[in-house]
Order: sequence, then C-alpha cells, then structure tokens
Amino acid sequence: MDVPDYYAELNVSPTATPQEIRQAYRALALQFHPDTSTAPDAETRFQRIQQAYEVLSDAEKRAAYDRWRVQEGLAQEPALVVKHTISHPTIPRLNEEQVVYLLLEIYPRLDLEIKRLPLNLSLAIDRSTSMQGIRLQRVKDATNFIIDFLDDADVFSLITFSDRAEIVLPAQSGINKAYAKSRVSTIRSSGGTEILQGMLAALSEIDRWRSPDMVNHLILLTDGQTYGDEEQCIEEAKAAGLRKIGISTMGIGQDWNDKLLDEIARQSGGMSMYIDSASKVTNFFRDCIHNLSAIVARDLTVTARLAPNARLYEAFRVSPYLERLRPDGETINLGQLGTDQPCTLLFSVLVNARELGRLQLAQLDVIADIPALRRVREKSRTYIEITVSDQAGTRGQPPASIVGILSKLAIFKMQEKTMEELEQGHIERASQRLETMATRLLNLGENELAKAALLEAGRLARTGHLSPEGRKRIRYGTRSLSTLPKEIGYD
Amino acid sequence: MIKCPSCGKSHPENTLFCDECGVYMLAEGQKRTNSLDVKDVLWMETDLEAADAAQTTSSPPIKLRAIILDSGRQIEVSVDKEINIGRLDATSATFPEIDLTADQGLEKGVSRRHARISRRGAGLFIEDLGSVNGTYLNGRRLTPYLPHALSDNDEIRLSKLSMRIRLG
Repeated sequence: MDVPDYYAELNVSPTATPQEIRQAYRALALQFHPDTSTAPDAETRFQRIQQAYEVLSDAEKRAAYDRWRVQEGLAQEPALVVKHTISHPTIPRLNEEQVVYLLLEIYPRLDLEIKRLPLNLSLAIDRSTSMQGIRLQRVKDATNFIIDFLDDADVFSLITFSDRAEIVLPAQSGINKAYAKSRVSTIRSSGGTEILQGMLAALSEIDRWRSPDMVNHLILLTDGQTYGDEEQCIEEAKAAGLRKIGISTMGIGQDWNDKLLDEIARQSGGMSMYIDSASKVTNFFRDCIHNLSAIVARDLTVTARLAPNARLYEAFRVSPYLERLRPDGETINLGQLGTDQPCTLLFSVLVNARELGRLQLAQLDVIADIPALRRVREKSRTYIEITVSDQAGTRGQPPASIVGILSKLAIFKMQEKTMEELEQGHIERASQRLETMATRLLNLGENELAKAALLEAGRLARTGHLSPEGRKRIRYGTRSLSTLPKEIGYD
Repeated sequence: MIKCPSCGKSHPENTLFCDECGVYMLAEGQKRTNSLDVKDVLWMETDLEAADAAQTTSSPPIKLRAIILDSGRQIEVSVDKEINIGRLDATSATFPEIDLTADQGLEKGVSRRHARISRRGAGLFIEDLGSVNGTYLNGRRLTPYLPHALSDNDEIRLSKLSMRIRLG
C-alpha cells in the first residue's frame, strides 16, 4: 500500500509553517471543490486534500504523522531532484486523441556530498590476431590509465581472451601498480574471438568480491565477431544484471557485432560504445571510469500512473545517450545515475480530453537506491497537471528544450526505421529515408553524420547493403546526437 | 489528426515532429521550398581532376562579392570561413552568410541550405547542398555535394535566382 504523503498532496515542504499549509490548502480546495471544479478526478482529489489538511493543521496530529514519516523513510530530504516540463500545459478539448510531450530531468541534489563507492572492476580485453599492432598498444596504454586511477580500496582484475580466456591479474584490492603494468606489457595477440570465454572468466573474478557497497562492473572490449556463443553471452549478461553487475561493451573498428554488444550492455544495465579509431580507447576508458566512480543512485526506476483517459505512447532516454525505453508495465528501469550525468527522459502521452478543466495527467514516482547514504528505494513523487480549455490560441509555442530534443529524437527514430526496413529487405525505402535523414542532419549542423548518411544512402541504392563501418557510424552517431561533442580521431 | 506538411503522414493533434520524415510540423509547411518546373538541364561535367587542377591562379582572394542580377543588390563576405548561401530560418537553425530571403528567395525556389562556397588551397569551390531546385554555374547544373572550382566573374544561379561573383 502506498504511504500517503500529505505534504506532497498540499504541495508544501515538510518544514512549511502552519500559515503556509493553510494558504496551500485554501488554494487547492478552491481549485478542486467538486461544486466548481470540472477536473474529472476533482472529488477524490478534494477528499485527499481535506484529509491532508486535517492532519497537518493539527499540531499534535502533525507531530505524530512526522514521526511515522521518519519510520516510513519519507522524512528525509530526497537525494534526487525531479524536474518536469510539459510541451502543452493547456490543450484544446477534442473528440480525438492528442499528444502531450513530457520532459523529465532527474539529477542529484546539488549540495549532496557523496564519497565515491569503491570499484569492483574487471577488464576483459580481446587479444585476437586482429588486435595486433597499434590497437593492442593503445588498449594497453588505456589499461595502464585505469591502473593509475585506482585507489587501495578498489578491486581490479584483468582478463584477456581469444579462443580461451587467461587471467592476467586476478581480482584483488590494493594492487601493486608497477607489477600490474608489467603484467599488462606481457599481453600478446593471437587466436580468434570468443566473447563468452572472456565474459565468464571476468564475471567469476567480479563475483569473488561482489558486494552491494561496491560498484561491480565489467568492461568488455572487442574488435571481432564471436561465433555461436551469442545467445549464451546475452543469457550471462542478463544473469549479471540480476546480480547487479553492469557490463559496458566497446567495439573497435568495423567487424564486430553491434547488435550483440548493445544487447549485452542493455541486459546488464551498462552502456555500449563504438570507436572508429584505436586512439579513442583511452577516452572511452576514462569516461567509463569517471562515470562509474560518480554513481549516486542505482536501480533507478520511474513509474508512471496515467489518467484513465491517457496512455503512454513512447518513452525515450535522452541523456546520457538516446535510447528507446521499453516500459515493464507502468515501470521503466533506468539503471544508475551519476553526479554529472543527469538522466533526461522524454515521454509522449496520448490523451483523450473531452472535458474542460484541470486534468491530472500523470503521477510519476521516481525510485532509486542511494548506496552512499544507505537509502534503499528512496521515492519522490511528481504530479503532472494540464488544463483542457475551449479558448482558441491557448496553445502557444512549445518550450525550446522540448523542441530541441524532439528534433534529435526524430532523426533517431528515422534511423530505427531505416534499420528495420533494411532487415525486412525494403532497400529502396531505406535508402530514401537515409537521404531525408541527411537533410535533417544538415539542418542541425551535423555535417559529418549527414555525409555518412548520404554516402550510405548511395551505397545502399547501388549495392543493396550498408558498409559495416557506415552502419555503425549511423547507429552510434544518431544515438549520441544529444550529447557527444564532435571530434574526429585518426590512428 | 493533423497531416505532415512534408510527407502527408497523419499524426495525432499537437504532434511536433513527423516521425516518418523528421520534419518540424509547426515551422515547415508554408515556408517550404517548392520544386519548380525546369525543362532541359545541362549538367556540369563531373571531372574531379579537372576541377582540382583548374585553380592555379596567383594570389588567393580575400573577399567575395555577390551581385544579385535582378535587383543589383551587392553582398560582400570574407572568404576565410565557409560561406553558406540560402534562406534564413531560425527554427531549423539555418543562418546563411548570404541570405536570399529579401531577394524573393522563397518564391524563386531557393532552399534554406542551398549551396556553400569554401576555400581549398588557393582556390574557392562551390558545392550544391542537395537543394530542391539545384545550383547552376555558368548555366550548367552542379552535381549535389560535388565541389566545383569558382572563378572571378562566374555566374551562379540558385534555382531561378542569378548572381554574379566577383573575387578580390
């Protein structure tokens, strides 16, 4: 059963004065009085407001309620801030469904001081023959970068894999950095690529130290296809996710299986990345380590309860990168949240507004564990309200933040459709769509990506295929539209 | 339901972007560049080597002057950055250096991002940016996205809008 949050009900802070509570109550009671309000849920809402005021206006009852809140974990200042923006705060009354876009930003409170959690990190590196030369050298440099970053409390292990896996450094805390680097220098390339071997060895190293007070994570780096073990890899990733081990995957060059690496990352709540040149490995490792050590919240979920006349049409993560979210019932799993990486979401809600007045479109519960504060399932609730009106000209310009995000999402969705059409063999349509996509990208000033799209559109029309490199450029490029700075690297 | 002004797909009321063609539903529509009828087109020969070799002139130009033939209006721009030619449109963040809105650009079929002039080595090159109605250099239509050498006194035509280029 839900704990009633009377302060949220009256939209006041738990430290509000009796006068503030009285004022808030009067305004809301007026707004939702069943005799005057036209909001569809006015009556229940009015009752809840009455009930909240009855408790909070009585000093004795309020003190008792406050004690109960402490027990129920509601009394703390929430560690996460939830901010929302609505595309159309006022919508016309219509006899058909209309769209309302909802932008949700979740980030840790600014004054929150959090000590970083120790890492339990394993690095699994592909050392197959194709990694030979500059690639392997860059990966070794990047590995040394990680080793230099580690504190005594961090646990680190290093695995290499080809047809089989070797444990170069078994999982241990307080590693001897000079020794670790000398072990890194002994890595030689040979053999094929079997990702499962590397995953299993690395996961068992992580499992030896696994603890809820650590960030348990696997970074997997490969440049090749794995054959025959794809499904097992995904199963292992799923199981790792359940054990709270995240897996970040990274593909170098153009021959690896982007779908598989994406799926491994998605199943475990990690992230997948593509780099076109080995010189970027260090950047990726640095970002990865930085994000892992800045984790504030874990098991972040958003539960959206919509008004009976509304339904969730689509949901996307916007930052740190673009991703289509697949809600599990009313709940969306979002993984972890870092200090300097707000989680931005965009929902499009279809609403059938046939009655005038205020409409409580959605009740959003953001729930997360804050391990550094030892808080479990901390919850903050947000109500989204809009007005249904008959007056013309009430629509106005939607906020620039929403338009900007939607313009990038539109391209992201075109990319999704292109890939779908390709899989279904609609070559011509996919090629045309890529061309249109290039125009939109030019409009946004994304010249590099636009050129790649145009090039691949031509190639598709001529040969019926995308180049493996172009395909990755487009997939990962559109996904990073919202965030990544544009940089070009060369080997 | 509302219809996308670009591709005609139906969307629920209030939709801001068409997910079929990616167009911003509020901004496009009336301000879209219409495709104009053209009869015979002489295409520029796509000889890359010739285009690259054509530029062996002495001192590189510093300034470029575009003279709109219909109105006589002159636009002077520096060539140390690339010069975009088209129509200003804030909603799609298009701010061309040579803005032809005032020269009946829309009516004459000029795209918002129509063409681009950029420096390569000592020479200047013009490139059509996949415009709806095409870019012509001295009467010959340019292949989109293929830069072509630009010389003093060349005539550029964007759809139906002509201008003379003076370098110096």
